[in-house]
Amino acid sequence: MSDDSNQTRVTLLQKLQTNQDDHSWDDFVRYYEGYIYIVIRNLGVGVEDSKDILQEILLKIWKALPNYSYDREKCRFRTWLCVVIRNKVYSFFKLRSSRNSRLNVSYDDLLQNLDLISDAEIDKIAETEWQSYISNLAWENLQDQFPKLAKEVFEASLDEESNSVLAERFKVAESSVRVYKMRIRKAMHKEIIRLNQELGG
Amino acid sequence: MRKEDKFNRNFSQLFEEAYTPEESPLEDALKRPGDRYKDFEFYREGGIKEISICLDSRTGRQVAMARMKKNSDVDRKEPFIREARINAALQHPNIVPVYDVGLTNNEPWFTMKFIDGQSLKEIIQKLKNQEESRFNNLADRLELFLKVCDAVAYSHSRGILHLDLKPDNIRVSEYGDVVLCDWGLADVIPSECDEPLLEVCSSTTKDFDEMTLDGTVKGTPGYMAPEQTGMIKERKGKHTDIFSLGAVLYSLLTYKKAFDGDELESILTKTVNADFLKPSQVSDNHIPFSLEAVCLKALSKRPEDRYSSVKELQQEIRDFINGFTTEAENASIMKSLHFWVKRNRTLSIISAFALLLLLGLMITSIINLKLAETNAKEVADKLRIEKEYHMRINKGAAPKFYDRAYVAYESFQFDDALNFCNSAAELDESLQEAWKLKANLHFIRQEFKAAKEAFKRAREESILTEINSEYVQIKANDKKSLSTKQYLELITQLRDNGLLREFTNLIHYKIFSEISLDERIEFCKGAVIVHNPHMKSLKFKFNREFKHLDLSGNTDMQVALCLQNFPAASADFSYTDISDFIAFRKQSLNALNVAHTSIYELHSLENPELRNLDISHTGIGNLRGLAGRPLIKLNISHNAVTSIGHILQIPQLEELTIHKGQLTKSELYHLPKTIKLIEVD
Ligand SMILES: Nc1ncnc2c1ncn2[C@@H]1O[C@H](COP(=O)(O)OP(=O)(O)O)[C@@H](O)[C@H]1O
Ligand SMILES: [Mg+2]
Repeated sequence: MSDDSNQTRVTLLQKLQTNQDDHSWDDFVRYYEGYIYIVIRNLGVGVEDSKDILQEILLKIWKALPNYSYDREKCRFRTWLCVVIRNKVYSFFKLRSSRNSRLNVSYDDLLQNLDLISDAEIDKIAETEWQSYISNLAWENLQDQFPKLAKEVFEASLDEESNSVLAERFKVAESSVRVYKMRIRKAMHKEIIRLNQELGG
Repeated sequence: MRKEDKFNRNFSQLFEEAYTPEESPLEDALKRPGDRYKDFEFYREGGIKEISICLDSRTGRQVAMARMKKNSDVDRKEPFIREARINAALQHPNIVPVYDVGLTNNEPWFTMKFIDGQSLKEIIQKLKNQEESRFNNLADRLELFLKVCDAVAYSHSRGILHLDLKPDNIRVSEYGDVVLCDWGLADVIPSECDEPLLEVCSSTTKDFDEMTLDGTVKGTPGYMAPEQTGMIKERKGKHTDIFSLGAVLYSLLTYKKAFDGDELESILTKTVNADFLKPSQVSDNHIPFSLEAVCLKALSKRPEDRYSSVKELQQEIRDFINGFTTEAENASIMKSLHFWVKRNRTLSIISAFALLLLLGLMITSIINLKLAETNAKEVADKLRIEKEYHMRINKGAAPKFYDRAYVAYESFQFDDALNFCNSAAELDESLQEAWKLKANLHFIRQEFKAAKEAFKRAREESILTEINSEYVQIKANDKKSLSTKQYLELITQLRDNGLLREFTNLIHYKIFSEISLDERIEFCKGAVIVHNPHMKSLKFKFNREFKHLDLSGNTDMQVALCLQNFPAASADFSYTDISDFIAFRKQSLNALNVAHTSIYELHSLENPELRNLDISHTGIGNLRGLAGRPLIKLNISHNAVTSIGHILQIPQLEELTIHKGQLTKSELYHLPKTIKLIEVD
């Protein structure tokens, strides 16, 4: 595919930026909620609190979306997202800590932690979580296409390198292990690239 | 908890992979620095080279790499590279292809196609151990041999001699490819080779003397030619390879080496004199005569007695495969074929097509007489496999089929004869003899319509065709049989027209077909009369309980051929005019009385179960035909016997009847006391 066609194709992200109706909101939630959630959790927020602030952050990002200028060189979309998330988490807890200190959660500690997270670290979270997120999303999309045994062998292969060990464990020929791995890997690579492009990675 | 909390972080590795693709993995592999060949694994070694399997990272295939064995003399380097160059000059499906030649750390190597499989040496060893192999069948071994010949013929055409032909240097892949390897001793004929090969010509260099540098002979004892022993002065040439091909053929026939022994010295002496045992002398395998002849010729001591070219040798093998064999072998094919056909009668008539295949098979594997013992189904399977041979049988083979049909007809094997005849006529529709014989055979089977058709094809017109036409009217349906009465009328008519062979054929056909006892008796009664026209009446008694057949007292009866195959256990033909025992063929007789007949000799007596024999009052004077028989009672009174000699060779004899004075006292003295002697007047 040439660069030209890359540019003329409108990605999901670009659609969401220009077309903010109810329908696109659903898409936005469907595709980004998971990532935003993980990042929130990564910033040290507990499961319960994460659920509470997820909606607010989604809305905040949704509103900020049209202002994000798609410029890969300056800042990746995922990094931008993370900065927005961090800021929102920060202000959210700031508000809570002053308003409601009777809860036994120490929001001050949390705020302190958030303060300590540097831009470099935000970058890192953005990156690793994005990769994990997109890959898992890709797997979710694809896995039903593969036979159960192939799926299991493939999943196991992510931890275990040796084909012969896998062949032994799943009672299949080593050559089958190789084929399963190769097939699924290739499909995954394609899907990852597709999702990453669509979601602005 | 959300599903995201359970994400498998291992998946991230795929993200990275997706974005660090080998955009052009194939191109990258070519650019990748490092050694082209890797993952070496030792495979095998010969006297000079070590063969390893390795991965060619440029082409991604497994190749075989030959290197000099460790501790090889540096002087071996040149010949080693020379071998690679000669081998590389040869491009032929049956010669291992060389891919690349090079030096690493100053050590020469060359790569070639890796031929997974076995060497012919290993295959022969397995055959010798009677293990199941793709090459159990001689036909398959000959195919293999022809491929080796192809390779050698080609290399000769390029002016190259192999000079180390032997089973170990022939490889057979799992897919049946046959390739010749190891051109380590190869030599170039300067006047015949291509220009670039002149570079490797050895005539002036020291390493192509009779002896190798380490003082051993060049070639492999057991397969080398006399002129390679260094013991005689004789030029090496194409004839040298031809000799070795003969030795390879020898091993393929016998699973043994032509020249073998414990000591090198004695093997070489045998080789130089071409002193070896014939294949048929050393092997239990059936060695077809003509293949043995091919072997002997190739293994001649004097080069001029050998084949003058590999092609000539090959042609002889092909001729054998194609069935242009010697008479001796034809006979043995005949035998196995008969056997087969007989066994398969129960499987209904074999189609001409199957027979055609069968013949091809037989020709190519007469050796495999065992084949005849394998059951019919196995043979049928084999037939399919051997289909290709059928392709080779063509019009030219028709006369052979006809010959075989005729032999079968002569020995009253009518079903076999018809099968052969059908094949002959099918292969060559213009072969009139075949049509004529076919017509005759249909006539014998009372298939008058088919006979008429065949007579027409044979352009035959005779009394027989007239009679046949007459019977087409009487019985138009070839599937139906004539009644016994009609049958008897027909043979009478044949007799009256002097068609004696046809007359005998019909009698023979009837009594050897499966008919009820009643029908048989009815037929025999009539046929004896037809056969003995002067007879007025016939006394014919058969006791069904004791299976006793009594035709005694028919003093006019001269012939009783129709009684062959009669299900009698005992027979009384005394006081008849028969002059031989032919009437009793295929009767399982315990007791036989032919007293007072015209019989004068025992040659025609078969009936091996006979216990009780009365040959009194006959002209028989020599009892040699009784030696070794399980006779218990014997009556020789009033015949011409006067000596006891052969009686002593009847081990179980209990009772002997003679007339007074037939044997002298001194003769009788030798008679064992266990034998009861009855003397009659
Ligand atoms: N290309 C090949 N693929 C597989 N096996 C081979 C190949 N070339 C040779 N061999 C096997 O390796 C052994 C030694 O090879 P050979 O060429 O005969 O060496 P040497 O000159 O030492 O006798 C032989 O038994 C042969 O069957
Ligand atoms: Mg060798």
